[in-house]
Amino acid sequence: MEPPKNISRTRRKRGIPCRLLLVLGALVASCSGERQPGIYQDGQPVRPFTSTESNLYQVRWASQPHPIPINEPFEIVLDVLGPEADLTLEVDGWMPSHGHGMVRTPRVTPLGNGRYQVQGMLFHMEGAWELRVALAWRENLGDSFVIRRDNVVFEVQI
Amino acid sequence: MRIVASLTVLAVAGGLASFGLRSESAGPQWQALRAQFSDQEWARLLRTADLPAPSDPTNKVFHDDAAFRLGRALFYEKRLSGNGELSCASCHDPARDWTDGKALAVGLEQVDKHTPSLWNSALNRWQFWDGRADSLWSQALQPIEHPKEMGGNREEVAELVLTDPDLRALYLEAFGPAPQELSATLTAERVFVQVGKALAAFEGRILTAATPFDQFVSGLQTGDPEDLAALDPLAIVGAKLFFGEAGCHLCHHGPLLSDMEFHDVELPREGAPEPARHAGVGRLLTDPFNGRGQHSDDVEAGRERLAYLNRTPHQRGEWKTPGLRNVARTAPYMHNGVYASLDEVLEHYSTLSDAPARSHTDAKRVLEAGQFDGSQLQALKAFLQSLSSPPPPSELLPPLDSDS
Repeated sequence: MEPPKNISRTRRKRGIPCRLLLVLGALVASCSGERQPGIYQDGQPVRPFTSTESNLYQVRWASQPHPIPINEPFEIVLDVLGPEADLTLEVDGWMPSHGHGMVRTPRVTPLGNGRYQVQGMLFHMEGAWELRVALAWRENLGDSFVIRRDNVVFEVQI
Repeated sequence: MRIVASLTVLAVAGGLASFGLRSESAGPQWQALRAQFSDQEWARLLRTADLPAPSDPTNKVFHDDAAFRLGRALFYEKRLSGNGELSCASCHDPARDWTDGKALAVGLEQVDKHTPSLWNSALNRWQFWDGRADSLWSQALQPIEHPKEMGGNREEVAELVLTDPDLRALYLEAFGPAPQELSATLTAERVFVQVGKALAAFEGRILTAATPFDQFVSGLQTGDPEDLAALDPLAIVGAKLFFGEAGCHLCHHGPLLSDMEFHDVELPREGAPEPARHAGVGRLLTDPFNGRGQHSDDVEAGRERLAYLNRTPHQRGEWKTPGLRNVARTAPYMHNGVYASLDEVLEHYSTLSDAPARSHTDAKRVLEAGQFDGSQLQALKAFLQSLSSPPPPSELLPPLDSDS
């Protein structure tokens, strides 16, 4: 499966048809045995696209392995759909009821076309986690620029 | 369609596997137990099964028999210490479940930490209470040179191993001739590292055997009535509390009954929290004997171990969650030996009456007092006592010619 071509290169392209295409693409890739960077080829359920706080971007993800094991390392692949920008992503886990996060700082690697690999994830305790995705990008303002930030939080029960 | 169907089959199979036996083929004893535990509690019970086999890619002699024999001799060797009177076994006594029975360890001087048991230490993700070592072999080196513990040094250790006839024979069998092309300093360091790796080959076999609780869990998986009867009713009540309402499982889960990570469990203290894991991470990353260093036998694996470590202020006051196998025989408890008995530990978690006041920076209280009544305390204690395994096998005891 090719990483979705419209991700991050297309402004405000979102909605059910696109989502369906992506999920179907994942299933086709699973069926054909095609190996591509990322994890969708193993047929893991993919979280539906969810809007960021500003509604500028949409993010979905899948874990490898699935379901996420307790206290064992796992990876995720994120797809980000939205305005073209040189995005920097930070991913973290947080246990709101415990007031603490992960014992690790994961590494985010862009795979191109809006897809990101996140390595080093570890949810070391059972319970309710938040998968927190922070996005940052530079917005040029003529001869200056500002750093824009956005985020989306997924609830995950381990 | 075929893919969807396959996924469905996998999901169903996975569901059955996670809950063990098919209920229709189980006897009334199993049925009664199954009804006693919630789905979540049941799954947590089953997750304690199957202690994994330890491994360490950064130590290529970890599974080697010759290294084990050298490690066994070294473990009980008092000449590794500065005064010739202390061996690893002085604090990690096999007759005391690889600990010393003291609140705080005493080497050449008393130190400020309780001696942890070595049972299953090869399965720890991190070594020491603050996790400042990432392998058994790098851990084993630190007490030898610590001025308050054994007070030895690598040069004298290397000389002993290379010149004592018995140790030299064991060394040659495990590692072959000592490197000749290196300077004396580098040779000493290389041999010192090999001493650590041999000690790890020995300590890696200090693994608990099946306990009454394990037999019970096996019974949950197979329905075997004899296995199901291995746990007395009070301990079963304790297990239900432990894996359910009491929330002990949040940190104490899996085969080791530990998450292998670090927490502040609000032990009594004066003043600010100790640096604890915060300092441990710093020391680990700069340890010349860590898994990504020049003495590692698999630098890539060592790098991967350390790649994602974070160091945050919240780690102050956080100490490693100990495994609970053989916990009933390894008093006193906690990183500083503050509690003399299991009863005192359970009382702490029940009331948190001795917990320090929270500062404004960490006002969110993670732990909540369990408020256990007397019968619940007894049940939890009975469960913890069911985690006791048989004593160490003779191959782990001192060699017959040892004076340890």
